Amino acid sequence: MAGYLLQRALALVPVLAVVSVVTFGLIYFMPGDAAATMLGPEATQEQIEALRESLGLNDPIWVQFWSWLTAAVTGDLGTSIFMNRPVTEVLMDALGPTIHLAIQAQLLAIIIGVPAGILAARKQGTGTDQTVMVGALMGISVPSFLLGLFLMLLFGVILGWLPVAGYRPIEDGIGESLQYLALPTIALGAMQAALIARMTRTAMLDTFSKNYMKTAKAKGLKDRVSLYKHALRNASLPIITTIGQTLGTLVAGAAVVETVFNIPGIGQLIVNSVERRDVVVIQGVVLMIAVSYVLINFLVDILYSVLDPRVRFTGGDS
Amino acid sequence: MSTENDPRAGAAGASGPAGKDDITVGSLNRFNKTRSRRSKFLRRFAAHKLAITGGTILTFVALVAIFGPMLTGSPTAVDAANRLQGPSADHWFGTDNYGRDVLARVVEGARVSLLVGAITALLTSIFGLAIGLYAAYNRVADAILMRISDGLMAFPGILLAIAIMAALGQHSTNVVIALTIVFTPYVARIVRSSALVVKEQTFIEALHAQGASRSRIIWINMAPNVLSPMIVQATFVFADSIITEAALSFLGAGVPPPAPSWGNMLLDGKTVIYNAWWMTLFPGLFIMATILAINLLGDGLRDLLDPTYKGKGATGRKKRKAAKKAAEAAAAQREKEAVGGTQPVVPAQATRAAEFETTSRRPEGQ
Amino acid sequence: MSNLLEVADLRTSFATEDGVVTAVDGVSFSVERGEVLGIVGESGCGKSVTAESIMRLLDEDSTTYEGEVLFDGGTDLLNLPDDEMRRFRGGRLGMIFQDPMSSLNPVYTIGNQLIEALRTHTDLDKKAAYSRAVEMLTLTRIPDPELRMKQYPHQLSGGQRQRVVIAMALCCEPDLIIADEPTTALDVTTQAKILELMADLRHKSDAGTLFITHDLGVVAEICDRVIVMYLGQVIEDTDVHTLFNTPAHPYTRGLLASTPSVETDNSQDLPIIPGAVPTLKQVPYGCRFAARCPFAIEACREAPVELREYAGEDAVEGVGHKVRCIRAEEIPGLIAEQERRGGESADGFATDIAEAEEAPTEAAEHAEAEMKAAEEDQK
Repeated sequence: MAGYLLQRALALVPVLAVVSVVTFGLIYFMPGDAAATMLGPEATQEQIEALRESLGLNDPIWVQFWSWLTAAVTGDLGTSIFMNRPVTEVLMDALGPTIHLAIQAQLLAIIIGVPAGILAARKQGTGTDQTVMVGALMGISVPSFLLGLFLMLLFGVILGWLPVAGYRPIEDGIGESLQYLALPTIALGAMQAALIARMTRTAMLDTFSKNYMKTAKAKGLKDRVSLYKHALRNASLPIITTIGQTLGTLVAGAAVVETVFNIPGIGQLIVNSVERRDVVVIQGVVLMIAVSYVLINFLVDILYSVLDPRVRFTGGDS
Repeated sequence: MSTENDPRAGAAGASGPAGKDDITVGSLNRFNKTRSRRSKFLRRFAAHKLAITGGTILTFVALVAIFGPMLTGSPTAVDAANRLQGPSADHWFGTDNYGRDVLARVVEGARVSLLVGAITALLTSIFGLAIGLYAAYNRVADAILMRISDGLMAFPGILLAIAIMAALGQHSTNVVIALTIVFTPYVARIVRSSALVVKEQTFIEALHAQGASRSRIIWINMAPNVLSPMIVQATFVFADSIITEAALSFLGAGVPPPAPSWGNMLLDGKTVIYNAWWMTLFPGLFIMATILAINLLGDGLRDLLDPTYKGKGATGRKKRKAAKKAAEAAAAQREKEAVGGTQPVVPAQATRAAEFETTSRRPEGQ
Repeated sequence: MSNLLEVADLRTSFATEDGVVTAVDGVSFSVERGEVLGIVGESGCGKSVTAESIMRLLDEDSTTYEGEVLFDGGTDLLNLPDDEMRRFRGGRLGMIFQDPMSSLNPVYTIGNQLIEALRTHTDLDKKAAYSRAVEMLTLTRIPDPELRMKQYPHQLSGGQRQRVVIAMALCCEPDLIIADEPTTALDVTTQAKILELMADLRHKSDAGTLFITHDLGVVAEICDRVIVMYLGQVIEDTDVHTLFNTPAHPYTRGLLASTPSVETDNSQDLPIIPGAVPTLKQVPYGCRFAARCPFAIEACREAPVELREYAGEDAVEGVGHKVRCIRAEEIPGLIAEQERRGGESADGFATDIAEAEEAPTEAAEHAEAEMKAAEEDQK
């Protein structure tokens, strides 16, 4: 088990290396002089030179990378040119609503997606299965920001049932918080639920064909026991993998949905920074999300080893 | 995942140790069979209702994108007197906050979206194929290229696209560049894994033995065998790029105004959502229909091109149900005959043999 | 005394996407208490489907059962409501599967899976079930049963897993044990040990056993009576001595002749039954074996052949010997004739692979064409 985790941890190193190089490299994607582009056309030559100096753009590239990387590891992601505040601080401020939305949407997606997938698999080929699958196909075909706009149009504008903009943290009361986040949560959770439902169905169908399911039946187990004890436990492994792998996309999706509903999270920070071409902030956001994605999937690996004894005991090369 | 249900997989496996002499014959046969296989593919495609629906919708949107702009007015002509007008005979989809015709903009937006999606799908296929095949063939390159793609795939696609757009600046070409960087690793992965499977097959080994050159082996022999999964993946990249382009433009990081794209139209519509529902609804419906169509097409192509994906669909069950009914009817018939003592006119076995000309599946598969 | 299991005219059909396939076609046999009945045949002959039909393990949606499976004095298993059938499965009917690698759930411990089986059918509390499970494992002579209880399937060897599967099948003291090729997936040494175990265990209870195998050596070792199946039908039915001493069906002769034994002269090649088992969707109208049979004549192909009492000169009195072949009685004479003419070999089958393949039969050609088509499809 320890060997397995060490092996997984070592596998993270190259991925994190690529992530940091790409993030660092963003500033070099900028056509022309990065400092000049960031400051816009009104900047004076002195301002540009000062920014070049503070960004370290005059140093050799590997020196820049090294100082950027060491700073990033210690939590210093630089300073926003536009807001004149440390990026880490800006990020922390914006993170709350985004995480809140992402977690809520993920929960909704699991609550809907897993049972729907199980149902479809049990009723494979029937009308129920087809309905679930068509629903899932619709789910993955409507981008979350578009679903957000449609929901806003229907429930906010036409019916006037729910607020269409803003954010209330849970501290302001769960009821009110839910009211504000209901539409964004559905908008973001729908596609996730669709993905989970599809994966659950496939994984369940796969386990249904396994010999140990026949053994379970030959033992005289009730269908319910076979299904939940024997099939679901095995099917949970790919389902959990899917959930882990889509988490990054979910956080990014949360950022997009936020801008639809004017929620002051990472999404608005990104949109504003893109407008201002505040690449330092964008680097910070991108790095943070990519690194957390990598770490979360490391946690999924650990969870995997808990759920699957084969991984736990053999070091799992499968 | 369902190969064990497929008796033909077993048959092919059993023919594995056939010996190297058969190999050239096998490839020749494959060559000769291409034509009949293609017509068989078309027949099965025609029978695939969902894929047909998807293909039809997509064709419709493409026709709108190609010929629509000739029929509608200018998508950028400002008409201050007719701002935010609802749908009418003059403006079927209404007008926007500059008095521009929403229909004309949706039509022009279709052109932009499909073009961006198609070019991205094409570029990712080209790069993905080259990278994936090279990685499958060269172990050192494989280690490096796949770590890079792992790293790129650690970024959520939309986020990486936004970051690249923030660095490059808003421009349609940059959208394509950003999307190509984002999606190429996904295609490369698929190509690599199917190429690795193909590589293990004997005929590639036989070519090594015959001393065929390396590039010949890669391009002539491996490419066709990885094309099917790649085409399926490219279809999904097509859909994902359209979604991502729309999201980028909606966030103000994609196709720059005043040129219309479905995404930036939605951004415009959002600010006036209380006054002009049509500005959100119509571009939104077009995005939805297009993505749905491509996904249907992609699922259909996967069913048709990927043998391991067969039999999971719903149609199989219907056929099986029908067959079961027939079986039960036959059973009842036999029972009656047993009671009445009459002989069946047609020998039961003979009809049965005639009924099952095509391959059967092992019944244990769920 | 009524039979423990009485299968009468069992017919199992599958609805596939391309039509109906009848995998078991009018099979009848019976098993008495304490008796081991062997079902023998090549793969694809319907023997496993027969076993799974008795347990009703096949996919309910696509399978049609006909005929009767009468258990212990008349309960027709095929007509039992689902929840009653469930009580039989694992309770009075114990099943041992072919592949011990995949028939245990990889994510639960051996103990968990054994106790689950026990508690499904008995009122034992957890502790009692635990000690009963250990007792069962001890009975299967698995080393260190207490440790095994805590282990996961992948930590056990194939033979140990099969012992666990046997313990699981026997833990509720079933009246009928169905063993579906219990030794096939194991290596030879382990095979012998498992067989020895099974032979031992059968003397400890009066349960009947249905033993499915393709291995005639195993049959000789463990079975009392044997039925030979070919393409979904019983083609020969008799006791084990008669089967080995005076086989009546050409197919059985072929099977026996192609099984190596100590007595066989090693310098002689083993004869081969030409061709492969045709698939179920191209079942011939007449005798199903005709295409591969060296004695087939026109009459064999003209009408379906019935299973009937064997009446040859060498028929043994009072054992009950049934065969599905219209020429069964003539065949000993035909073989003698052949040998007199300095002909090929034992029991009318060619010994030379080349010879056997030079004259590919209809079925073999068919199978080959099919394989090719399948390959094309794969690409």
